[in-house]
Amino acid sequence: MKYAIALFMALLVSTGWSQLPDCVPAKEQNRLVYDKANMLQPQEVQQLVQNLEQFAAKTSNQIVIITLPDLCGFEPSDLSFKIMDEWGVGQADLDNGVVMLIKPKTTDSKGQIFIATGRGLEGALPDGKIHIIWENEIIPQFKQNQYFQGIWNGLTVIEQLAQKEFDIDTYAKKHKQKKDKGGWVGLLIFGAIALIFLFGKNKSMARANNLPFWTAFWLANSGPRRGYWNDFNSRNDGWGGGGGFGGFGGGSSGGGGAGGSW
Amino acid sequence: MNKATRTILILVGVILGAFILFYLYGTSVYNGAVEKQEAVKKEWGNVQVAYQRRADLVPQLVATVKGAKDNERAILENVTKARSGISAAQSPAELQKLGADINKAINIVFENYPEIRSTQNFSELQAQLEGTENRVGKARSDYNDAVEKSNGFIRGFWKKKALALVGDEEFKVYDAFAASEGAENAPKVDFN
Repeated sequence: MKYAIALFMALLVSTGWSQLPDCVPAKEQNRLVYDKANMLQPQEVQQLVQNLEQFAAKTSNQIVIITLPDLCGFEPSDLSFKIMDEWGVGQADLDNGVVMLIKPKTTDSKGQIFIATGRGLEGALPDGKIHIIWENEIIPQFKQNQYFQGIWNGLTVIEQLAQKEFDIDTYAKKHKQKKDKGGWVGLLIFGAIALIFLFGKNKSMARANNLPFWTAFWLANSGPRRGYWNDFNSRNDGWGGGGGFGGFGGGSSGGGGAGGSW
Repeated sequence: MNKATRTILILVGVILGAFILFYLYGTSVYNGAVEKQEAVKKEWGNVQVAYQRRADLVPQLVATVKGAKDNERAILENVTKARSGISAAQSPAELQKLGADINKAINIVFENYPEIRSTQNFSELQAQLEGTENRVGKARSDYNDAVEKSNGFIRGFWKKKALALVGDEEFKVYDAFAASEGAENAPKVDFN
């Protein structure tokens, strides 16, 4: 029993999980637009949501738009990468996510925007191209406080380019069956049978040992299983088709993207 | 069955059970350790790619300057040497040195050809330069995360025992990147 606890503790220590800073809103499984800085009208948010959901359903590319009143001391680039990784924007096997992070201009600080591209989209949307989109489509509108128009114009170009890289056919083609995670279950069953066999022989005597034993058994195995659960969750294939947005797919960032201030 | 036989049976059962349990635990630790070490290797590859990208930017920078002939050969030779060293680099310290060499070359280009700032596609180049540094930073922090997970995973007392029991593969404790390099050696290019 004692060592079972020790094992359990060791397993607990080993499962660290990095966290996003407080200024980032909690991820909502079915949402692609987070206007925390109130830069948009409700109907504009609605229009963006509709557009992005359709785009995600049609092409498997996932674009998230986040406006934040402040970036809690982070570079917009770093924060965008973190969000993409932690939320898993884009499909896991394509990494075709885009995070558009905007901090509005205030009286004493510049407005900032960063558009992070997932690894898979770095070819279709290289930093230089994002920079041109930012310079030509977004910033001129932002300077006139036409936030929706700027986002919309930028989005239109980004979607056109991203669509050439990944549409739903490439997604379907590339999307393989999830890896079999059943190995552990098999091992557990095998272990359980072996142990039942072992203990069944002296069943009458083992009664006293049984409870601590199974507790230990459970303790020793719950750690790794939870690990797999996390894994499974983060790779959860969110794309479901149909109406609305099914959830993030587990894409990650390689540090691509560009942005600037106005 | 007399009392002594019973006691012996129970004892043998408990010891055997404990051993099987520990072995099961060991296999899961082993698989976890392999997975985490592979993750470190993958991230290491990404770091190398990010540094190579930084190296590839130099010829591009030089190419934008018309008539840059005198220093160009020396700069490019240094960068090519550093670039080929990247794929062979084994440790973060080694890679950081090569990365710093490349940054020096970038700085030399900027110092020697201030007119680069007024070239037509400079703002795009600037976005690329920033993007390259972003990627280096991202790859380094991803690598450090993977190293932290892997090192933490194989270091525990029981885990070490379990790993020794299950297999004879050496699990390496990796070095992480020191935090200061980016700040110290990144090309300090004044864009304005």
